[in-house]
Amino acid sequence: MLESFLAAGLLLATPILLAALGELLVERTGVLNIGVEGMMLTGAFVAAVVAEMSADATWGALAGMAAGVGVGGLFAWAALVLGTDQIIVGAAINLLALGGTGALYRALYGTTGAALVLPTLPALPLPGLGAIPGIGPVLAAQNGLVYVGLALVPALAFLFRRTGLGLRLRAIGDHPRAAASLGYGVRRYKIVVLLMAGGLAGLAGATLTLAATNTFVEGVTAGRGFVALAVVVFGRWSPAGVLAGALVFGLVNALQFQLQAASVAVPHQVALMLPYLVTLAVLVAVPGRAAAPRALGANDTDA
Amino acid sequence: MSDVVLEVVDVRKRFGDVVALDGVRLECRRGEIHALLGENGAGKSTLMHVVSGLLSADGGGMRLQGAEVRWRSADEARSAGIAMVHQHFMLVPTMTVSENLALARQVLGMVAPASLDADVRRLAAERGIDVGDPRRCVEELSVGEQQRVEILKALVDVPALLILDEPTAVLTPSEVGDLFALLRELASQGTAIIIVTHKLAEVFAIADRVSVLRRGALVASGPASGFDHDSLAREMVGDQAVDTAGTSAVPPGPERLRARGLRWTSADGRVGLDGVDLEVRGGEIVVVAGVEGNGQQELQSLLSGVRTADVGGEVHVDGRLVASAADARDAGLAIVPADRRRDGLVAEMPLWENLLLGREDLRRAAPRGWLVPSEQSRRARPRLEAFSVRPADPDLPAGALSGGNQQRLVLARELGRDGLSVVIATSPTRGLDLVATRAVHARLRDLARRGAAVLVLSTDLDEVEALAGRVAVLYRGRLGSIEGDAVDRIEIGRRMAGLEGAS
Repeated sequence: MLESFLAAGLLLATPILLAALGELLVERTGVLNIGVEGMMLTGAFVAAVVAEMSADATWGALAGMAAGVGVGGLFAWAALVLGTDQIIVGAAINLLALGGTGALYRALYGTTGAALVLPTLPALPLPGLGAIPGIGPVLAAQNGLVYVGLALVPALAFLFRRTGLGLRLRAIGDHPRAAASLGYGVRRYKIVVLLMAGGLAGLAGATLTLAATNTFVEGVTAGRGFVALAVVVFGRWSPAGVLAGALVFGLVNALQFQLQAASVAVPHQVALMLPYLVTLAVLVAVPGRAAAPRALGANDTDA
Repeated sequence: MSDVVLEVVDVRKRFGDVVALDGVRLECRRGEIHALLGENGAGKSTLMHVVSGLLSADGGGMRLQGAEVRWRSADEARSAGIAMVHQHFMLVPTMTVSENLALARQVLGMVAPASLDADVRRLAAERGIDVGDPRRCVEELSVGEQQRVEILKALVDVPALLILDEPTAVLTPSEVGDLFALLRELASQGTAIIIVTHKLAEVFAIADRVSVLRRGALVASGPASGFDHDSLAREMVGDQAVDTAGTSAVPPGPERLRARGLRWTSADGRVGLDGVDLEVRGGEIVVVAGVEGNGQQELQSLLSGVRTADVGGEVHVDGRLVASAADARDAGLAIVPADRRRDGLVAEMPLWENLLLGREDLRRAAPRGWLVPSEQSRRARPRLEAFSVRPADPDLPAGALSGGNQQRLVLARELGRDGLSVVIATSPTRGLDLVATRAVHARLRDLARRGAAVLVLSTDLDEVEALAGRVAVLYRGRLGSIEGDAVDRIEIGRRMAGLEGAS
């Protein structure tokens, strides 16, 4: 019972985690991408369509990631090549994704109201994981994207703290002119991390449709992209903070399903609200120094 | 091998209609410190940007150690051995000294903090530059320390030519001494050094050779020993009249500014001001000397009524208590803030709107409650001309002006009014050239002569000397005793550095 609850929590945390880690990467590099929601939604939709057509969830997930990379590229082109304000680009991408996926969904599947049933990402039992006492059983039967998310947490922490490449990205996020004066192509780095963040957001969307809900409905992301944005801020731009925030969201979300299943007399709207409220409350309450990248959102690419 | 490291031949550069460099020649030799002297806008920075590959010239050529070169990027110039220390440091403030140097060394793969620190210590020892604990964050360092990190960064690969753009602008007198000693040591090891400056005294203190630029043209060049103070000043300024009027003593009038027991403790417990008493009489110029960060910002905020309630002490102007910035304005107080871009003007607004940002002026300018832009624009022009703001186009946004002209704009608004009682100016000539500086000083003296109490907060010893009737030194939030007439430059410098006289 507890194990299945925790496993559900971890699964529900994964879309937030993947999207937020991507956002963390671009924000540390100085790009404020508020289009995460739209990137996630696009990934969720494309993953659903390809999984349904190919009857293979893995192809769906890969297609979702590719779609996310595409939207990341669109952001990079508009914000970094054309120099449009990043907030405006992000907002436009959110609206475009919401309208575009909605219209395409209706065109492809009609408006019958019958829910799309999608293949599920298979569990990927990693040898040895199940043997870990306590959390082993929770980890053992998850799909591959959950492992990707969890593995990225220490990987990003290592990248930022222990590699020259990470130093460069942080330097670009904090003082792009200084980075440019050392000969680093500020814009090139930003474009590359945007493509990666788009891919992660696309994967996040794929997790949502192919593992968490197993269907696609219009606006399926339901603000999770914005939760990911909030998790980055309140997680103080650290991978561990992001993981903590995502886990809180996932666990409360799992709890909320349990409440509904147990027919506790709570209006379902309140239950649905719960993960968002608790995540924000916890993140706000955690003490610590805010450490936003100094040149976050600045369109001063310089080089 | 020839001793000439860099030879610039006939370099020309235009920006639109403006000729920034008009056939400039320059020669730098091994082991020589070459001062590049000139007023703001003379073309010093443009020339250095061409040399370091940040800009490409329209004509002319360059030879580096005998070989013809033409930079396509700053990177290319750097790899060829030209290093530049920018006036505004190019350090990442949130990172440690080690991390900043790792960035400069283009490290890409894994980095272990311990080995980075060891690398920095070794490099610092080899180059003879003390940067202290490499694990410290750059933003915790003093400006002088940051500059040493910046210089060490430039020396990662020993450059053939090291360029320093106005390196002393932010340093205390003792830090300037350290810097000059360091530069001499580097030169003795064979590096060619160019130091860009508009301070005459520095030429004689450090340079072997000097070149003077005026309006984009090289007007003089030769060994520094071949010039004296006056001849260099003439070359730099040309036939423009230089106002050298000394202080004409005016008998001090009644006390106009009075501050008692000013205290300031910041949220994190740092003491900004620790019981400052001050009075300035009409007709008097008092200079508060001190290195930035010793309480100037706090003192200016309190005296101008921007902050009052949450800190201790009282400020009176003409006997009236100043409880808000509005009180201060009503009492005829003018403020020239230290950071003109942040506190002095709104870069996006046109000049005429910036001139109106004083409250009384708004009341007078718009008696019916609305402003007619064309009329305001017309009325602004003579005031802009009176303060030599160039270009004097009232509809231009303030951000389009050069730094010196932005300062003139702030001065035009703050000082171009009748009925001023008190003038508080923080570093009013920072970034201004010789002519502009003297014009500002003349205006402050003139205001004092007409009965205003003038208080100048300055970090620049030349300014302290040029202006002062009375000098006080602000160090760690305490105001040292106000001296009599005898202003001893060395003694003031020592006190600014907290060396003695902490009475």
